[in-house]
Amino acid sequence: MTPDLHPDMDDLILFCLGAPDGEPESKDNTAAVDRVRQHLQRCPECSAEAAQLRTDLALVAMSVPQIPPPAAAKERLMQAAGISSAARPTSSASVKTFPSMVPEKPASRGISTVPGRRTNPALVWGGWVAALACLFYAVHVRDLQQNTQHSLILETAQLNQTQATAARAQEILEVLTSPESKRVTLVSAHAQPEPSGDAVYLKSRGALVFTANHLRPLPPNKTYELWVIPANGSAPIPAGTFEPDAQGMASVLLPHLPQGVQAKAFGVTMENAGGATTPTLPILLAGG
Amino acid sequence: MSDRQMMDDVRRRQPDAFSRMYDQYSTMVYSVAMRVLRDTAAAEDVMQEVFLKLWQHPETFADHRGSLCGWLAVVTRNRSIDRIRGGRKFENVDDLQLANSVDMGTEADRNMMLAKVRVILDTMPQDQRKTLEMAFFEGQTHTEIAAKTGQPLGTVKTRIRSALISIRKALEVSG
Repeated sequence: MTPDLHPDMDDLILFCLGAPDGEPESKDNTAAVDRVRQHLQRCPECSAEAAQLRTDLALVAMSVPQIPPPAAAKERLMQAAGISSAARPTSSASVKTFPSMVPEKPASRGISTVPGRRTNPALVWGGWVAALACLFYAVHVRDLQQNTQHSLILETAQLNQTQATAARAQEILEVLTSPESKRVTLVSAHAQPEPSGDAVYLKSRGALVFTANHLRPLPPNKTYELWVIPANGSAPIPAGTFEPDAQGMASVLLPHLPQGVQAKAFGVTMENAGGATTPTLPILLAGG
Repeated sequence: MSDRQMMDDVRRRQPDAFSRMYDQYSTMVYSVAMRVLRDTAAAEDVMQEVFLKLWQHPETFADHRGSLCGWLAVVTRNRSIDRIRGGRKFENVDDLQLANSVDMGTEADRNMMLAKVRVILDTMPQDQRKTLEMAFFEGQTHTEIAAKTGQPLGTVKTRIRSALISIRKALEVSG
């Protein structure tokens, strides 16, 4: 007999979200949902978890921007439910006709309401047709206005979300770029940090900014030297010597370099004090 | 009047109770349908279907199924997704059970809870929120989301799971 294993959380979520049936790509999903459904009939623990997941999802649903339904929707619902206006204590949503457009008494055909004056029947009916047209137009405009209002509410909600996202991105940017921010690189607590360096090079100006961390202390009469390795294969260009401080940090700022040299890579070697004109192997740090 | 009393009156076929229920929850139901369908006429159709079903078959909702508003929200979402999927039906509504762990009995409780949920959703990683919304409000399968976003299926599942766990944890912590 196959043991009745509890479904994993993802299958339970899939079940609560409801996987569509009958699509080839969802066969696996459907099978998973069927398995969960059968399991839930026997497992109170998983049933409780599914109920909790549905509650979580209900909260997500209820948190959407609130949009009131059209004013006439209640009357339409009540009619569909077979509930007359009279049966309801409040009938605020009931649609009223326009009393000013409904005659108190049916007027005689072709007879003006003004005594002693006959009117062309075509004019009378033409007036009613015009009034009806106005009524339909007014209803149409009202529906249009409601639709526009709903769209506006929806758009506003989306705009608020976009603004929140933009504000979050701006905050991240400020944290990353603020001079007051402290930058710390975390490494394994047990490992000795490896030496590393960062070079920022602007070819058109021949400008280079180089910083290094975790450099090993130098032997007496030795120095580190930075090199620019040109892309055209010509000899490495010395870019300054430097010595690390007690924390292993060092920097080379804007050394004298020719302009317009396309750099293939950068390297750091250890040289005799005073520096060298050609690098001595091994290259301790390299990148490009 | 509590939801329980209101539902008791609806079961006794009292029109004013049905009217009150509409007044209380129509905006929420309509909003959920609008979020999924983005169409006023379709959203009203779903809203009418949900309320009408409850009026004609009030036994569909039993008090032990959780809060009425939560139940309405999930049923509305499911009916709306049914429409997107071309009428294929969701799980039977009779099976739809929610937990009673979240107190949404009064309007104040509900508003407080929803304010928290909105904050959680606004502050969770964008990819988590987007993935959850694609699954929940757009009715997309995990496979469809993976194809659209270019993320592995496992990542999609993880994001949805993480988003729901974030909501639950935050609500548990804040009480």
